[in-house]
Amino acid sequence: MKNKLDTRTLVLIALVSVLGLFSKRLISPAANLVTDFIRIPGGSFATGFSLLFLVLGRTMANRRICATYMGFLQGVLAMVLGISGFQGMLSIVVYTVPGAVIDLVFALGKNGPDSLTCLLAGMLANCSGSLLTNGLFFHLSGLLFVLWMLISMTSGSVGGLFACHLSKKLTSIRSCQV
Amino acid sequence: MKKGYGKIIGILAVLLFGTVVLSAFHLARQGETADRTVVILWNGGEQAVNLASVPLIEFEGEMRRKVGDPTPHTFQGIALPELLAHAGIDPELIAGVQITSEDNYQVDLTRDEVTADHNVYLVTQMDGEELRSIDADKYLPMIVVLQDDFATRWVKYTVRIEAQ
Repeated sequence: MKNKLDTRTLVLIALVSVLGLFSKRLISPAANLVTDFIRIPGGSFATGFSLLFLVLGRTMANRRICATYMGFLQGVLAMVLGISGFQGMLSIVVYTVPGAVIDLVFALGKNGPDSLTCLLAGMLANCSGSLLTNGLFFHLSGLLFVLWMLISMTSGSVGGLFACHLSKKLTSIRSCQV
Repeated sequence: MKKGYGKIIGILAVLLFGTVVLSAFHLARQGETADRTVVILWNGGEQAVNLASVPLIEFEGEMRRKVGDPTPHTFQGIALPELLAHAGIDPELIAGVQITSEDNYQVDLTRDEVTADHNVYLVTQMDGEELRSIDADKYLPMIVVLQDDFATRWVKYTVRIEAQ
C-alpha cells in the first residue's frame, strides 16, 4: 500500500469529502421522513449514507489514513461553512472519528477492500459517530438508544456495501478508459 | 453464491430485523406512555429531544390571569436554559427563542427572559397530571413563564423551540 499522497489522491480526497458532506444535506429530508416516523432524532440514518463517500474514497485511494484526512476535512468544512448546526468546533471530532474508524477497519481487514470490509467499515464508522453525538449532545438512553444505534449500524452497513459496489464500477470504468 | 456474501446477508438481515422489531416496539410503547418530544432548532441544525431523556424537577409556580386570583400549581419539568444546554446550545449565545405549539401559536422570548432565574420552564406535568396534545392522543409539554404578569405567553402543546 502506498502512503504518499499524490495530486490525484488529494483531488480524490477533496472531491469525496465535499460530496459526502453535501450529500448528507440532500439525503437528510428523505431520511428524516423515516426517523420522524419512528420518532427518534434524525442524523444517524442520513450519516450512514453520506459515510459511503468516505468508504468509497478510502477504497479508491487505498492510502492508510486517507479516510481520517477526509473526515477531518469534512469537519473543518462543516465548521467553516456554518453547516455543523449546534456542534460548533466539536464537528471536527464528530467527523474525524468515523474516518479514523474506517481506516482502522481497513487496516485490520485481511482481504483488502472487499464487500465485507466495506460493510463493516461503514457500520462501525457510523456506529462510532452516533455514539459520539449521543455522548456529546443527545444523551439518549434505554430502548431509544439501542434503536438509534441499530438504525445507524443498518444505514452505515448499506452505505458501506454500496460504496464497495460503486468503487468496483468506477474502477472498471477507469480501466476501460486506460 | 460468492464467498462472504452469506455473512453480509446475515449481518444485514440481523440489523434490519432488529431495527424493525425495536421500531415497532418503540412506537407501540410511545402510544402507551409518552411522546414528550420537542424539536430544537439552532444555527441551521435541528434535533428532537425526548423529555424522557432529560432530568426533570418538581417546582412551584403561580398562574396569573387577568381576571381572578393567581392559582398556585406544582409543575414537573426542566428549566429552558438547561434544556438548551442539554441540546448543546449555550443560552448565553442566543438572542432569544421562538416557541411554537401544535396549533402554530408562537411566542418569542428574549435571552434575558430565558436565562433569568426560575422563569422559563418546559413542563410535562401540572399538579400531577401529564400534559397532553390538543387531541389528547399523545403527551406534549408546555412552556411556562413564571415572572410574567399574566400567563398569556405560556405555550401549551409545545412542539418546537427555535433558538435565534
